[in-house]
Amino acid sequence: MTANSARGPWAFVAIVWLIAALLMAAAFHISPLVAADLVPLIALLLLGVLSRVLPDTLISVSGDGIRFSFLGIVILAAAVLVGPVGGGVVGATATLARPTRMPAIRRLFNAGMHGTVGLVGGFAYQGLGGVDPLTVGRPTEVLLLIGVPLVLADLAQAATNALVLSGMMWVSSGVPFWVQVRSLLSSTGAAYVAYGMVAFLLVVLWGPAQVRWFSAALTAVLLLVVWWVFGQYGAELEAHERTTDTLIAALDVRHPGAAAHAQRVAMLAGWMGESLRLAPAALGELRTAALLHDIGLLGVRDADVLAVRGHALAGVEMLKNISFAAPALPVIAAHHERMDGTGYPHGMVGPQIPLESRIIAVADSFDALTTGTDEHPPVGAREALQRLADDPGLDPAIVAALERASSSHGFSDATGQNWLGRAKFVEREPQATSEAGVRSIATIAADLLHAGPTTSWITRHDHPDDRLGL
Amino acid sequence: MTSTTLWLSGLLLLIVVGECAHVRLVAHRGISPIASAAAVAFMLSLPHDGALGILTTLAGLLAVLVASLLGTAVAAALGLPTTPADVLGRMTNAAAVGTLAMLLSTAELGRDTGPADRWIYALALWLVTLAAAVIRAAAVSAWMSWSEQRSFAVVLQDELSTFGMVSLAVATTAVTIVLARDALGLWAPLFFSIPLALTLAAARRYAQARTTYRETIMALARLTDIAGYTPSDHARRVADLSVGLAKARGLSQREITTIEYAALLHDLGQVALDEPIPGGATVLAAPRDQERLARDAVEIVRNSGVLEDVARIVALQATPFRLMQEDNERIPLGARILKLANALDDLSGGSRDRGPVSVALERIQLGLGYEYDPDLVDDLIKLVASRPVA
Repeated sequence: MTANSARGPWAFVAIVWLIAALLMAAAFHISPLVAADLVPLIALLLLGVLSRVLPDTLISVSGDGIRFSFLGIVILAAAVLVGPVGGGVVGATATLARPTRMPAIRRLFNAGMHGTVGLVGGFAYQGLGGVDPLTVGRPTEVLLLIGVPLVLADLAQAATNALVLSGMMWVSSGVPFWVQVRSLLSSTGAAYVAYGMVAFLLVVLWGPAQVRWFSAALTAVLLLVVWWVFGQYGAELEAHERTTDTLIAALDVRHPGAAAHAQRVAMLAGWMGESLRLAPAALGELRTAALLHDIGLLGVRDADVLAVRGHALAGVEMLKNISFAAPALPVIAAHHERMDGTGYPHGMVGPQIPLESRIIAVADSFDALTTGTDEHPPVGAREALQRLADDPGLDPAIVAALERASSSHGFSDATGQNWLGRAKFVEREPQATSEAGVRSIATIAADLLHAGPTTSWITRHDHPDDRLGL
Repeated sequence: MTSTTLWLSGLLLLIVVGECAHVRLVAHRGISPIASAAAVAFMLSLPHDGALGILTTLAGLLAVLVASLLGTAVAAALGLPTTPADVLGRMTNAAAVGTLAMLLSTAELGRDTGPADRWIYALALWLVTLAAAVIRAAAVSAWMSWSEQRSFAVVLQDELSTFGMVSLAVATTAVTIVLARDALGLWAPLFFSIPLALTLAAARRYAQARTTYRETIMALARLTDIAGYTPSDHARRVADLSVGLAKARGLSQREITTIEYAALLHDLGQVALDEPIPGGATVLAAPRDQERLARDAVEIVRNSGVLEDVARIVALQATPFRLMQEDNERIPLGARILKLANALDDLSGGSRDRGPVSVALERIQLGLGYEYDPDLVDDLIKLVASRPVA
């Protein structure tokens, strides 16, 4: 990172801290801390530090995922029980005290952001009619004078968090501000609703139910269990994702280079799917199908045309009992069907072929052309795209999607296998991937570059110049 | 302030409704955490003082039982799964809570405890529910270890690792519901069930992810069958035998699953072969070839990055037992089990008929102490004698 590009983010961090400091001064002026605030402040600070000591649970599907951290709950509870000063202090201090190693700028930014979020929550609660939780005791009062303002303060915190984070993303990586705000609100919105409800429970136990500091201990246990269960889920999900890699690894032992081919096809198919505006769930299914499309080659031992032609259906047979692969089965079965009816195994025509199969057919052909075979030398991305556009077996709309993807990812002028090295990647949440050790698409691509090309005919059976027909 | 009758009826209703929110955590056992928390809160809320304490506790238990059975019936009518063992566990739990709460009432700690001493009241309630959860786990484990003939310690360990965290959440939730009774009235059971609902949702997805994980392992195991390297269902049969041997040794569920997965994946290395071994029988292959196949399988399994325990067993599946005596090499029990189970299935050609099995056992006994662990061979002879002949 050059000094020039780093200046923007640092300036943004300074602005965040300036806002936090101004809000803090106002908070001290309006509702200064009193002696009675000390116990809740210390209890919530401990709870906040605990939430930062535990690693965030990341439930990830290929690097993108939902995160569960209960700091949001603690900040909101502090904002309500202690006021704006409490929210600000707990938010900033807990983040600064986090024991994990991270770059100074990230630690400072997160602390400033969480401090601001806590201050805003406190002001929102008091400004919207919230009362001191220690002064009410009847159910209707608890719901109206604590519950309703607390929910509104929760929403204010969610909005503040989204605005500050989007500002940082805009300054540091040029992600459009409002697009990012919208995407953050839709992805973290549900989590904030849950945070608000749990914070309400902590406040009710502390104040109206008169349990005081011991309520922090009870809540901590509940949160630990939720955190643990989410962690179990995340770990199991990752295990399951990695097991899919094992399927491809088995294929790679049989036909070296097949795994790298599968990863490249999955990457290209994903970009085309995004360009065709497929829904996130459909993109996931497309990715699974693209990774596993050639799994049937496991049963192919020598370059026998009949055996290779059977691999599409053999793959379906191998995967038929895996429930998550079910949507991929018709796609894998038809990935060698061609628009003009010259494909196999059934000779389907045009729109009879599933959209995902048509996408994989284009990605497959592109990868074959740019990798080459023993007889056909590799061609550059531009020439490959031209060849695909002239191919009557491929869907022109999808070839157009690949063209769009190649120019937006910056490899339309690349030569041969080199396109991988040229491709640009957008990391949606860079911090999420590095912490949980989930491989991002960019690291997969870097590994692939080292893998080197495979020109064996069995893996390259989809080269347009050697196409098998019905 | 809510009257006691209304409060208790509300909790009973939550038992009925909560029974439908069920999650299955292991093969035949699940839990309805919201119903269990409501049952504990109900038992804690009964008037315990005086001579009537024992009578109200008994009547309360009956009410919990009726509500649970009603909930089970409603869930069954809606086509939702439930586990009868969960209702039994809940009754044990409720009985323990009721008994301990009677002791609590003699200590003059009650709902009306003021802010100064309230944390003591809260702590006391919490300890009561935790003790009851431990009693429940011990009772369920004792019953299961008796009915399944497994060691109590192993069953208890499995029970705690599967249900421990959820039981902790159930106990804590019940305490918070009781504490918030005056502050939130009948809203308390609803609001304080939210963390449990979150836990439930995550646990459900966890169970689902584990199912698909298992399916993927099974599909990997069948790869070599479909590709024509191994006779069909060889891996499944070896896995069943291995699980039988592991159970006979009293291993924990986690260790048993690891051995099962290793058995399912042990022949994966054969996909690297250009020509299949006749009959897929690795036991007949040369020792060096056997080790190479194991290495290839390990390479594939290691690729997942999450099956390290499984990979260790697969790696040593071909190692002869004598190395343990001669070179003092440490061969894990799982690998010894897998080697033996694989040999029986290869040598008997996968048959369960008495003829081929006894021939296979004779050949195994020729390698006793040299290739195979003699103690395990004794277990194997008992195991094949007890299983039904197909």
